[in-house]
Amino acid sequence: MPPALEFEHMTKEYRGWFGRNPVCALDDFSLRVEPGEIFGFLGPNGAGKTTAIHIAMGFMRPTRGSGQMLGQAFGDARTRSRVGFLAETVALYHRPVERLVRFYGALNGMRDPQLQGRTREVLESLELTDVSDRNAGKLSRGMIQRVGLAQALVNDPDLLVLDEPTSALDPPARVAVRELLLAVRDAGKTIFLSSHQLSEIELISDRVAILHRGRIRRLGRTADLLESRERLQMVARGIDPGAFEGATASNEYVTFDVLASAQRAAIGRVWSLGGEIVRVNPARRSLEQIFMEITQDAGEEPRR
Amino acid sequence: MRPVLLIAANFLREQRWLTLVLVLYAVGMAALFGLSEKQVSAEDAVFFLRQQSLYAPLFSLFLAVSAVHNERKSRRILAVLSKALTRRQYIAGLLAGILAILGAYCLAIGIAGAWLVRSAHASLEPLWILLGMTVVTSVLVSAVAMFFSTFLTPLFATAATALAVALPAALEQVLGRGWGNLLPVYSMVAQVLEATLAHHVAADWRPVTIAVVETLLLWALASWIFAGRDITTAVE
Repeated sequence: MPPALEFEHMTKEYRGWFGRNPVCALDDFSLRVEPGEIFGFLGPNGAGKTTAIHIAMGFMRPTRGSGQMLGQAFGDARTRSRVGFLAETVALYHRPVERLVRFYGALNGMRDPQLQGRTREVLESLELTDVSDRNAGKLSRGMIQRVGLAQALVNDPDLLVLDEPTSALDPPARVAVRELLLAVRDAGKTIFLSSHQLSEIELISDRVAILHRGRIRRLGRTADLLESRERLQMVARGIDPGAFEGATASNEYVTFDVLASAQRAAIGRVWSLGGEIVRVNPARRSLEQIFMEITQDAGEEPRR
Repeated sequence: MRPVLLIAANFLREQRWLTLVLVLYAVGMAALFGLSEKQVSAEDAVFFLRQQSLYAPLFSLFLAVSAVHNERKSRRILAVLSKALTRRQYIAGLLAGILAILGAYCLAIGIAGAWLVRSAHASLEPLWILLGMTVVTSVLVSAVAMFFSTFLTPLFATAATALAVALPAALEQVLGRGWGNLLPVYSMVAQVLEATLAHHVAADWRPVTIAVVETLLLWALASWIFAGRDITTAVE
Protein backbone atom coordinates (compact mmCIF):
# COMPACT_ATOMS: atom_id res chain seq x y z
CA MET A 1 0.00 0.00 0.00
CA PRO A 2 1.57 3.35 -0.98
CA PRO A 3 2.10 5.90 1.78
CA ALA A 4 -0.50 8.62 2.14
CA LEU A 5 2.26 11.21 1.99
CA GLU A 6 5.95 10.86 1.36
CA PHE A 7 8.78 13.38 1.14
CA GLU A 8 12.08 12.05 -0.21
CA HIS A 9 15.30 13.99 0.43
CA MET A 10 13.53 17.25 -0.11
CA THR A 11 15.32 20.57 0.01
CA LYS A 12 13.72 23.94 -0.46
CA GLU A 13 15.73 27.11 -0.67
CA TYR A 14 14.26 30.57 -0.88
CA ARG A 15 16.43 32.98 -2.79
CA GLY A 16 16.28 36.68 -3.41
CA TRP A 17 16.88 38.39 -6.74
CA PHE A 18 19.83 36.91 -8.65
CA GLY A 19 20.03 34.07 -6.12
CA ARG A 20 21.09 36.30 -3.26
CA ASN A 21 20.38 35.68 0.44
CA PRO A 22 19.44 32.00 0.17
CA VAL A 23 17.48 30.58 3.11
CA CYS A 24 17.16 26.84 3.43
CA ALA A 25 13.60 26.11 4.63
CA LEU A 26 13.83 22.33 4.18
CA ASP A 27 17.14 20.53 4.34
CA ASP A 28 17.22 16.98 2.93
CA PHE A 29 13.85 16.38 4.51
CA SER A 30 12.39 12.86 4.33
CA LEU A 31 9.14 11.70 5.89
CA ARG A 32 6.59 8.96 5.30
CA VAL A 33 3.00 9.18 6.54
CA GLU A 34 1.16 5.86 6.55
CA PRO A 35 -2.49 5.52 5.53
CA GLY A 36 -5.00 5.62 8.36
CA GLU A 37 -2.90 7.48 10.92
CA ILE A 38 -3.09 10.88 12.52
CA PHE A 39 0.36 12.34 12.05
CA GLY A 40 1.38 15.31 14.20
CA PHE A 41 3.81 17.66 12.50
CA LEU A 42 5.47 19.96 14.99
CA GLY A 43 8.07 22.65 14.96
CA PRO A 44 8.71 26.21 16.04
CA ASN A 45 8.01 29.17 13.76
CA GLY A 46 10.31 29.06 10.75
CA ALA A 47 10.97 25.34 11.09
CA GLY A 48 9.69 24.65 7.55
CA LYS A 49 6.32 23.04 8.37
CA THR A 50 4.22 25.26 6.11
CA THR A 51 6.82 25.02 3.34
CA ALA A 52 6.60 21.21 3.47
CA ILE A 53 2.80 21.33 3.40
CA HIS A 54 2.72 23.80 0.52
CA ILE A 55 5.11 21.64 -1.49
CA ALA A 56 2.91 18.61 -0.86
CA MET A 57 -0.15 20.54 -2.04
CA GLY A 58 1.65 21.66 -5.20
CA PHE A 59 1.73 25.35 -4.27
CA MET A 60 5.53 25.32 -4.40
CA ARG A 61 8.24 23.29 -6.06
CA PRO A 62 11.14 21.84 -4.14
CA THR A 63 14.67 22.92 -4.98
CA ARG A 64 15.72 19.28 -4.79
CA GLY A 65 14.05 16.00 -3.96
CA SER A 66 10.64 14.59 -4.71
CA GLY A 67 7.52 13.36 -3.03
CA GLN A 68 4.19 11.72 -3.50
CA MET A 69 0.69 12.07 -2.21
CA LEU A 70 -1.70 9.12 -2.34
CA GLY A 71 0.63 7.39 -4.77
CA GLN A 72 0.99 10.31 -7.20
CA ALA A 73 3.70 12.96 -7.54
CA PHE A 74 3.06 16.22 -5.69
CA GLY A 75 1.00 18.72 -7.68
CA ASP A 76 -1.25 16.24 -9.47
CA ALA A 77 -4.65 17.92 -9.80
CA ARG A 78 -6.68 14.71 -9.94
CA THR A 79 -5.15 13.45 -6.70
CA ARG A 80 -6.20 16.65 -4.95
CA SER A 81 -9.85 15.66 -5.41
CA ARG A 82 -9.10 13.04 -2.70
CA VAL A 83 -7.38 15.54 -0.41
CA GLY A 84 -8.76 18.13 1.99
CA PHE A 85 -6.61 21.11 2.89
CA LEU A 86 -6.89 23.86 5.46
CA ALA A 87 -4.34 26.67 5.32
CA GLU A 88 -2.82 28.27 8.39
CA THR A 89 -4.41 31.59 7.45
CA VAL A 90 -7.94 30.80 6.41
CA ALA A 91 -8.92 33.14 3.57
CA LEU A 92 -12.25 32.51 1.88
CA TYR A 93 -14.55 34.38 -0.44
CA HIS A 94 -17.25 36.58 1.02
CA ARG A 95 -20.39 34.67 0.23
CA PRO A 96 -22.99 32.68 2.18
CA VAL A 97 -21.40 29.76 4.02
CA GLU A 98 -23.39 26.98 2.38
CA ARG A 99 -22.80 28.32 -1.13
CA LEU A 100 -19.12 28.75 -0.33
CA VAL A 101 -18.73 25.15 0.78
CA ARG A 102 -20.67 24.02 -2.30
CA PHE A 103 -18.33 26.08 -4.51
CA TYR A 104 -15.25 24.33 -3.12
CA GLY A 105 -16.94 20.95 -3.40
CA ALA A 106 -17.85 21.68 -7.04
CA LEU A 107 -14.21 22.58 -7.75
CA ASN A 108 -13.41 19.05 -6.62
CA GLY A 109 -15.76 17.67 -9.25
CA MET A 110 -18.69 16.98 -6.93
CA ARG A 111 -22.22 17.35 -8.26
CA ASP A 112 -25.71 17.36 -6.79
CA PRO A 113 -27.30 15.49 -5.08
CA GLN A 114 -24.06 14.15 -3.54
CA LEU A 115 -22.66 17.70 -3.17
CA GLN A 116 -25.79 19.00 -1.49
CA GLY A 117 -25.99 16.08 0.93
CA ARG A 118 -22.32 16.20 1.82
CA THR A 119 -22.39 20.00 2.28
CA ARG A 120 -25.28 19.74 4.74
CA GLU A 121 -23.51 16.88 6.53
CA VAL A 122 -20.24 18.78 7.14
CA LEU A 123 -22.06 21.98 8.10
CA GLU A 124 -23.99 19.98 10.67
CA SER A 125 -20.93 18.19 12.04
CA LEU A 126 -19.13 21.52 12.47
CA GLU A 127 -22.21 23.19 13.97
CA LEU A 128 -22.47 25.67 11.12
CA THR A 129 -26.07 24.97 10.12
CA ASP A 130 -27.33 28.07 11.93
CA VAL A 131 -25.00 30.34 9.98
CA SER A 132 -25.27 28.56 6.60
CA ASP A 133 -27.04 31.60 5.07
CA ARG A 134 -24.67 34.16 6.57
CA ASN A 135 -21.86 35.78 4.61
CA ALA A 136 -18.55 34.14 5.52
CA GLY A 137 -16.88 37.55 5.44
CA LYS A 138 -18.95 38.66 8.41
CA LEU A 139 -18.18 35.71 10.68
CA SER A 140 -15.77 35.63 13.61
CA ARG A 141 -12.28 34.16 13.17
CA GLY A 142 -13.26 30.97 14.93
CA MET A 143 -16.32 30.51 12.73
CA ILE A 144 -14.27 31.17 9.60
CA GLN A 145 -11.85 28.47 10.72
CA ARG A 146 -14.78 26.09 11.01
CA VAL A 147 -15.95 27.05 7.51
CA GLY A 148 -12.38 26.38 6.38
CA LEU A 149 -12.59 22.92 7.91
CA ALA A 150 -15.95 22.39 6.19
CA GLN A 151 -14.48 23.15 2.76
CA ALA A 152 -11.61 20.76 3.52
CA LEU A 153 -13.99 17.98 4.51
CA VAL A 154 -16.72 18.45 1.90
CA ASN A 155 -15.20 15.98 -0.58
CA ASP A 156 -14.87 13.27 2.10
CA PRO A 157 -11.08 13.21 1.56
CA ASP A 158 -8.80 10.21 1.97
CA LEU A 159 -6.06 12.53 3.20
CA LEU A 160 -6.65 15.61 5.29
CA VAL A 161 -3.80 18.14 5.46
CA LEU A 162 -4.43 20.65 8.21
CA ASP A 163 -2.16 23.57 9.07
CA GLU A 164 -3.08 24.87 12.54
CA PRO A 165 -6.74 23.81 12.35
CA THR A 166 -7.73 24.82 15.87
CA SER A 167 -5.67 27.96 16.46
CA ALA A 168 -8.71 30.28 16.48
CA LEU A 169 -11.17 27.95 18.19
CA ASP A 170 -12.48 28.17 21.73
CA PRO A 171 -12.07 25.12 24.03
CA PRO A 172 -15.50 23.52 23.32
CA ALA A 173 -14.95 23.90 19.57
CA ARG A 174 -11.46 22.41 19.92
CA VAL A 175 -12.90 19.37 21.66
CA ALA A 176 -15.52 19.06 18.91
CA VAL A 177 -12.88 19.27 16.17
CA ARG A 178 -10.69 16.76 18.02
CA GLU A 179 -13.58 14.31 18.14
CA LEU A 180 -14.34 14.96 14.50
CA LEU A 181 -10.72 14.23 13.52
CA LEU A 182 -10.74 11.01 15.52
CA ALA A 183 -13.95 9.99 13.76
CA VAL A 184 -12.33 10.77 10.39
CA ARG A 185 -9.32 8.61 11.36
CA ASP A 186 -11.62 5.82 12.51
CA ALA A 187 -13.25 5.92 9.08
CA GLY A 188 -9.85 4.93 7.64
CA LYS A 189 -8.69 8.36 6.51
CA THR A 190 -5.24 9.86 7.04
CA ILE A 191 -4.71 13.16 8.80
CA PHE A 192 -1.52 15.19 8.52
CA LEU A 193 -1.77 17.77 11.24
CA SER A 194 0.55 20.70 11.80
CA SER A 195 -0.05 22.55 15.04
CA HIS A 196 1.43 24.57 17.85
CA GLN A 197 -1.20 23.16 20.20
CA LEU A 198 1.10 20.50 21.62
CA SER A 199 -1.47 19.15 24.05
CA GLU A 200 -3.86 18.57 21.14
CA ILE A 201 -1.22 16.73 19.14
CA GLU A 202 -0.35 14.66 22.21
CA LEU A 203 -3.97 13.68 22.64
CA ILE A 204 -4.82 12.58 19.12
CA SER A 205 -1.67 11.83 17.11
CA ASP A 206 -0.56 8.27 16.45
CA ARG A 207 2.88 9.45 15.36
CA VAL A 208 4.74 12.71 15.70
CA ALA A 209 7.63 14.41 13.90
CA ILE A 210 9.40 17.42 15.30
CA LEU A 211 10.94 19.63 12.65
CA HIS A 212 13.52 22.28 13.38
CA ARG A 213 15.49 24.35 10.90
CA GLY A 214 14.25 22.26 8.02
CA ARG A 215 15.27 18.90 9.47
CA ILE A 216 13.44 16.18 11.36
CA ARG A 217 14.81 16.15 14.91
CA ARG A 218 12.52 13.49 16.39
CA LEU A 219 10.15 11.03 14.79
CA GLY A 220 8.19 8.21 16.29
CA ARG A 221 5.05 6.94 17.92
CA THR A 222 3.65 9.55 20.28
CA ALA A 223 3.54 7.13 23.21
CA ASP A 224 7.19 6.11 22.64
CA LEU A 225 8.36 9.68 22.39
CA LEU A 226 6.64 10.67 25.60
CA GLU A 227 8.32 7.85 27.48
CA SER A 228 11.80 8.74 28.65
CA ARG A 229 14.54 6.14 28.43
CA GLU A 230 16.88 8.20 30.58
CA ARG A 231 14.61 8.91 33.51
CA LEU A 232 12.46 6.70 35.69
CA GLN A 233 9.50 7.56 37.81
CA MET A 234 9.46 5.86 41.21
CA VAL A 235 6.61 5.56 43.66
CA ALA A 236 7.52 4.66 47.24
CA ARG A 237 5.83 4.62 50.64
CA GLY A 238 7.00 4.92 54.17
CA ILE A 239 9.48 7.73 53.47
CA ASP A 240 9.54 11.49 53.92
CA PRO A 241 8.88 13.45 50.66
CA GLY A 242 11.85 15.69 51.47
CA ALA A 243 14.24 12.77 51.01
CA PHE A 244 14.21 13.15 47.21
CA GLU A 245 14.46 16.36 45.24
CA GLY A 246 11.24 17.29 43.46
CA ALA A 247 9.27 14.52 45.14
CA THR A 248 5.50 14.91 45.56
CA ALA A 249 3.37 13.22 48.18
CA SER A 250 -0.15 11.96 47.76
CA ASN A 251 -1.70 10.12 50.68
CA GLU A 252 1.02 7.70 51.82
CA TYR A 253 2.73 7.55 48.40
CA VAL A 254 5.78 9.62 47.43
CA THR A 255 6.51 10.07 43.72
CA PHE A 256 9.87 11.18 42.33
CA ASP A 257 11.99 10.99 39.16
CA VAL A 258 15.56 9.67 39.03
CA LEU A 259 18.08 9.10 36.27
CA ALA A 260 18.02 5.51 35.03
CA SER A 261 21.68 5.19 35.98
CA ALA A 262 20.80 6.14 39.59
CA GLN A 263 17.95 3.62 39.90
CA ARG A 264 19.85 1.14 42.10
CA ALA A 265 21.10 3.88 44.45
CA ALA A 266 17.59 5.37 44.79
CA ILE A 267 16.06 2.00 45.65
CA GLY A 268 18.81 1.44 48.25
CA ARG A 269 18.11 4.83 49.73
CA VAL A 270 14.37 4.15 50.04
CA TRP A 271 15.12 0.88 51.84
CA SER A 272 17.67 2.50 54.11
CA LEU A 273 15.05 5.06 55.12
CA GLY A 274 12.70 2.24 56.06
CA GLY A 275 10.42 2.64 53.09
CA GLU A 276 9.47 0.36 50.23
CA ILE A 277 9.27 0.76 46.47
CA VAL A 278 5.72 0.44 45.11
CA ARG A 279 6.30 1.08 41.39
CA VAL A 280 9.06 1.93 38.91
CA ASN A 281 8.08 3.13 35.40
CA PRO A 282 9.77 5.04 32.59
CA ALA A 283 9.19 8.74 33.34
CA ARG A 284 6.55 10.27 31.10
CA ARG A 285 7.28 13.72 29.74
CA SER A 286 4.94 16.10 28.01
CA LEU A 287 5.33 16.82 24.34
CA GLU A 288 6.03 20.39 25.33
CA GLN A 289 9.10 19.32 27.35
CA ILE A 290 10.44 17.28 24.43
CA PHE A 291 9.70 20.10 22.03
CA MET A 292 11.55 22.62 24.18
CA GLU A 293 14.55 20.30 24.64
CA ILE A 294 14.87 19.68 20.90
CA THR A 295 14.44 23.25 19.80
CA GLN A 296 16.86 24.53 22.47
CA ASP A 297 19.48 21.86 21.71
CA ALA A 298 19.33 22.62 18.01
CA GLY A 299 19.05 26.33 18.56
CA GLU A 300 22.75 26.97 18.39
CA GLU A 301 23.23 25.25 15.03
CA PRO A 302 23.79 27.70 12.22
CA ARG A 303 21.17 27.63 9.46
CA ARG A 304 22.50 26.81 6.01
CA MET B 1 -14.47 22.87 -18.46
CA ARG B 2 -16.56 23.01 -15.29
CA PRO B 3 -13.73 24.29 -13.03
CA VAL B 4 -13.02 27.03 -15.61
CA LEU B 5 -16.65 28.15 -15.53
CA LEU B 6 -16.72 28.03 -11.74
CA ILE B 7 -13.60 30.21 -11.48
CA ALA B 8 -15.00 32.59 -14.11
CA ALA B 9 -18.36 32.88 -12.36
CA ASN B 10 -16.60 33.44 -9.06
CA PHE B 11 -14.39 36.16 -10.55
CA LEU B 12 -17.44 37.84 -12.04
CA ARG B 13 -19.16 37.64 -8.68
CA GLU B 14 -16.14 39.14 -6.91
CA GLN B 15 -16.10 42.01 -9.41
CA ARG B 16 -19.87 42.46 -9.56
CA TRP B 17 -19.90 46.01 -8.23
CA LEU B 18 -17.20 47.10 -10.67
CA THR B 19 -19.16 45.45 -13.49
CA LEU B 20 -22.30 47.26 -12.43
CA VAL B 21 -20.44 50.58 -12.33
CA LEU B 22 -19.04 49.97 -15.83
CA VAL B 23 -22.47 49.10 -17.22
CA LEU B 24 -24.10 52.09 -15.54
CA TYR B 25 -21.29 54.32 -16.78
CA ALA B 26 -21.82 53.19 -20.39
CA VAL B 27 -25.58 53.64 -20.13
CA GLY B 28 -25.19 56.96 -18.30
CA MET B 29 -22.82 58.34 -20.93
CA ALA B 30 -25.19 57.29 -23.70
CA ALA B 31 -28.05 58.99 -21.86
CA LEU B 32 -25.97 62.17 -21.60
CA PHE B 33 -25.31 62.12 -25.34
CA GLY B 34 -28.83 61.19 -26.29
CA LEU B 35 -30.80 63.41 -23.96
CA SER B 36 -28.68 66.56 -24.06
CA GLU B 37 -29.07 66.96 -27.83
CA LYS B 38 -32.37 67.63 -29.57
CA GLN B 39 -31.26 65.50 -32.52
CA VAL B 40 -28.50 62.92 -32.14
CA SER B 41 -26.11 63.00 -35.07
CA ALA B 42 -24.14 60.08 -36.47
CA GLU B 43 -20.98 61.86 -35.31
CA ASP B 44 -22.24 61.92 -31.72
CA ALA B 45 -23.00 58.23 -31.87
CA VAL B 46 -19.60 57.43 -33.38
CA PHE B 47 -17.82 59.58 -30.80
CA PHE B 48 -19.62 57.71 -28.00
CA LEU B 49 -18.73 54.34 -29.49
CA ARG B 50 -15.08 55.23 -30.09
CA GLN B 51 -14.72 56.60 -26.57
CA GLN B 52 -16.21 53.52 -24.91
CA SER B 53 -14.29 51.17 -27.20
CA LEU B 54 -11.03 52.72 -26.08
CA TYR B 55 -11.91 52.31 -22.42
CA ALA B 56 -12.67 48.60 -22.73
CA PRO B 57 -9.04 47.47 -23.35
CA LEU B 58 -7.92 49.72 -20.50
CA PHE B 59 -10.42 48.14 -18.11
CA SER B 60 -9.34 44.68 -19.22
CA LEU B 61 -5.70 45.60 -18.60
CA PHE B 62 -6.37 46.68 -15.03
CA LEU B 63 -8.60 43.69 -14.31
CA ALA B 64 -6.10 41.17 -15.67
CA VAL B 65 -2.97 42.66 -14.24
CA SER B 66 -4.17 42.38 -10.65
CA ALA B 67 -6.32 39.22 -10.83
CA VAL B 68 -3.68 36.67 -9.83
CA HIS B 69 -1.85 39.10 -7.56
CA ASN B 70 -4.97 39.90 -5.52
CA GLU B 71 -5.80 36.23 -5.06
CA ARG B 72 -2.26 35.47 -3.94
CA LYS B 73 -2.08 38.46 -1.63
CA SER B 74 -5.38 37.63 0.05
CA ARG B 75 -4.32 33.93 0.17
CA ARG B 76 -7.71 32.91 -1.17
CA ILE B 77 -5.84 31.17 -3.96
CA LEU B 78 -4.73 28.44 -1.52
CA ALA B 79 -8.19 27.03 -0.91
CA VAL B 80 -8.95 27.18 -4.65
CA LEU B 81 -5.74 25.57 -5.90
CA SER B 82 -5.95 22.89 -3.21
CA LYS B 83 -8.88 21.51 -5.23
CA ALA B 84 -8.82 19.32 -8.31
CA LEU B 85 -8.07 21.99 -10.89
CA THR B 86 -4.90 22.72 -12.82
CA ARG B 87 -3.16 26.06 -13.00
CA ARG B 88 -4.07 26.18 -16.70
CA GLN B 89 -7.76 25.88 -15.81
CA TYR B 90 -7.33 28.55 -13.16
CA ILE B 91 -5.78 31.06 -15.60
CA ALA B 92 -8.43 30.18 -18.19
CA GLY B 93 -11.12 30.77 -15.56
CA LEU B 94 -9.76 34.21 -14.71
CA LEU B 95 -9.56 35.15 -18.40
CA ALA B 96 -13.10 33.89 -18.94
CA GLY B 97 -14.22 35.97 -15.94
CA ILE B 98 -12.60 39.07 -17.43
CA LEU B 99 -14.26 38.24 -20.75
CA ALA B 100 -17.62 38.01 -18.98
CA ILE B 101 -17.14 41.45 -17.40
CA LEU B 102 -16.06 42.95 -20.72
CA GLY B 103 -18.98 41.18 -22.39
CA ALA B 104 -21.39 42.84 -19.98
CA TYR B 105 -19.73 46.21 -20.53
CA CYS B 106 -19.71 45.85 -24.32
CA LEU B 107 -23.32 44.67 -24.29
CA ALA B 108 -24.24 47.81 -22.37
CA ILE B 109 -22.30 49.89 -24.92
CA GLY B 110 -24.07 47.99 -27.69
CA ILE B 111 -27.57 48.54 -26.34
CA ALA B 112 -26.91 52.17 -25.46
CA GLY B 113 -25.05 52.69 -28.74
CA ALA B 114 -27.86 51.10 -30.73
CA TRP B 115 -30.28 53.58 -29.22
CA LEU B 116 -27.98 56.47 -30.20
CA VAL B 117 -27.40 55.06 -33.70
CA ARG B 118 -31.14 54.58 -34.21
CA SER B 119 -31.72 58.13 -33.05
CA ALA B 120 -29.16 59.28 -35.64
CA HIS B 121 -30.99 57.21 -38.34
CA ALA B 122 -27.77 55.35 -39.15
CA SER B 123 -27.09 51.69 -39.90
CA LEU B 124 -26.62 49.33 -36.97
CA GLU B 125 -24.31 46.91 -38.78
CA PRO B 126 -21.04 48.85 -38.20
CA LEU B 127 -21.87 49.09 -34.50
CA TRP B 128 -21.76 45.33 -33.99
CA ILE B 129 -18.53 45.03 -35.99
CA LEU B 130 -16.94 47.74 -33.85
CA LEU B 131 -18.10 46.06 -30.69
CA GLY B 132 -16.83 42.67 -31.82
CA MET B 133 -13.43 44.19 -32.55
CA THR B 134 -13.44 45.93 -29.19
CA VAL B 135 -14.13 42.65 -27.38
CA VAL B 136 -11.32 40.86 -29.26
CA THR B 137 -8.91 43.75 -28.57
CA SER B 138 -9.79 43.73 -24.89
CA VAL B 139 -9.38 39.97 -24.56
CA LEU B 140 -5.97 40.16 -26.25
CA VAL B 141 -4.90 42.96 -23.90
CA SER B 142 -6.10 40.94 -20.89
CA ALA B 143 -4.15 37.89 -22.12
CA VAL B 144 -0.98 39.98 -22.49
CA ALA B 145 -1.51 41.50 -19.02
CA MET B 146 -2.26 38.10 -17.49
CA PHE B 147 0.88 36.68 -19.08
CA PHE B 148 3.06 39.38 -17.53
CA SER B 149 1.23 39.24 -14.19
CA THR B 150 2.26 35.60 -13.73
CA PHE B 151 5.84 36.69 -13.07
CA LEU B 152 5.76 40.46 -12.49
CA THR B 153 4.15 42.68 -9.88
CA PRO B 154 1.03 44.54 -11.07
CA LEU B 155 2.98 47.78 -11.58
CA PHE B 156 5.67 46.16 -13.73
CA ALA B 157 3.10 43.99 -15.50
CA THR B 158 1.12 47.12 -16.43
CA ALA B 159 4.27 48.79 -17.76
CA ALA B 160 5.28 45.64 -19.66
CA THR B 161 1.80 45.30 -21.19
CA ALA B 162 1.78 48.95 -22.22
CA LEU B 163 5.19 48.48 -23.82
CA ALA B 164 4.18 45.25 -25.57
CA VAL B 165 1.06 46.91 -26.96
CA ALA B 166 2.83 50.14 -27.97
CA LEU B 167 5.85 48.52 -29.62
CA PRO B 168 4.06 47.13 -32.71
CA ALA B 169 2.34 50.52 -33.13
CA ALA B 170 5.72 52.26 -33.04
CA LEU B 171 7.20 49.71 -35.46
CA GLU B 172 4.31 50.27 -37.85
CA GLN B 173 4.93 54.00 -37.79
CA VAL B 174 8.66 53.56 -38.41
CA LEU B 175 8.88 50.47 -40.62
CA GLY B 176 5.54 50.57 -42.40
CA ARG B 177 2.31 48.58 -42.61
CA GLY B 178 2.12 45.03 -41.32
CA TRP B 179 4.26 45.48 -38.20
CA GLY B 180 1.19 46.50 -36.24
CA ASN B 181 -0.11 42.95 -36.64
CA LEU B 182 2.76 41.63 -34.54
CA LEU B 183 0.46 42.15 -31.55
CA PRO B 184 -2.56 43.62 -33.30
CA VAL B 185 -4.02 45.79 -30.53
CA TYR B 186 -3.07 48.95 -32.38
CA SER B 187 -4.35 47.62 -35.72
CA MET B 188 -7.78 46.89 -34.25
CA VAL B 189 -8.00 50.09 -32.21
CA ALA B 190 -7.07 52.06 -35.35
CA GLN B 191 -9.95 50.42 -37.23
CA VAL B 192 -12.34 51.35 -34.44
CA LEU B 193 -11.08 54.94 -34.44
CA GLU B 194 -11.37 55.23 -38.23
CA ALA B 195 -14.82 53.68 -38.45
CA THR B 196 -17.90 55.64 -39.39
CA LEU B 197 -21.60 54.81 -39.33
CA ALA B 198 -22.25 56.44 -42.66
CA HIS B 199 -21.46 53.43 -44.76
CA HIS B 200 -20.71 49.75 -44.55
CA VAL B 201 -17.53 49.06 -42.53
CA ALA B 202 -14.90 47.31 -44.61
CA ALA B 203 -13.20 45.62 -41.65
CA ASP B 204 -9.79 43.98 -41.96
CA TRP B 205 -10.28 40.62 -40.24
CA ARG B 206 -6.63 39.57 -40.40
CA PRO B 207 -5.69 41.28 -37.10
CA VAL B 208 -8.75 39.72 -35.46
CA THR B 209 -7.64 36.24 -36.51
CA ILE B 210 -4.09 36.95 -35.31
CA ALA B 211 -5.47 38.31 -32.03
CA VAL B 212 -7.50 35.16 -31.37
CA VAL B 213 -4.50 32.92 -32.06
CA GLU B 214 -2.19 35.08 -29.93
CA THR B 215 -4.71 35.12 -27.08
CA LEU B 216 -4.67 31.32 -27.03
CA LEU B 217 -0.86 31.25 -27.22
CA LEU B 218 -0.52 33.79 -24.41
CA TRP B 219 -2.97 31.82 -22.26
CA ALA B 220 -0.92 28.65 -22.81
CA LEU B 221 2.32 30.51 -22.07
CA ALA B 222 0.90 32.21 -18.97
CA SER B 223 -0.38 28.84 -17.72
CA TRP B 224 2.99 27.22 -18.31
CA ILE B 225 4.86 29.96 -16.44
CA PHE B 226 2.29 30.07 -13.64
CA ALA B 227 2.47 26.27 -13.25
CA GLY B 228 6.17 26.56 -12.49
CA ARG B 229 5.83 29.41 -10.01
CA ASP B 230 5.65 29.17 -6.25
CA ILE B 231 2.29 30.71 -5.47
CA THR B 232 3.06 31.19 -1.82
CA THR B 233 6.14 32.52 -0.15
CA ALA B 234 7.12 31.29 3.28
CA VAL B 235 4.83 32.68 5.89
CA GLU B 236 7.21 31.61 8.63
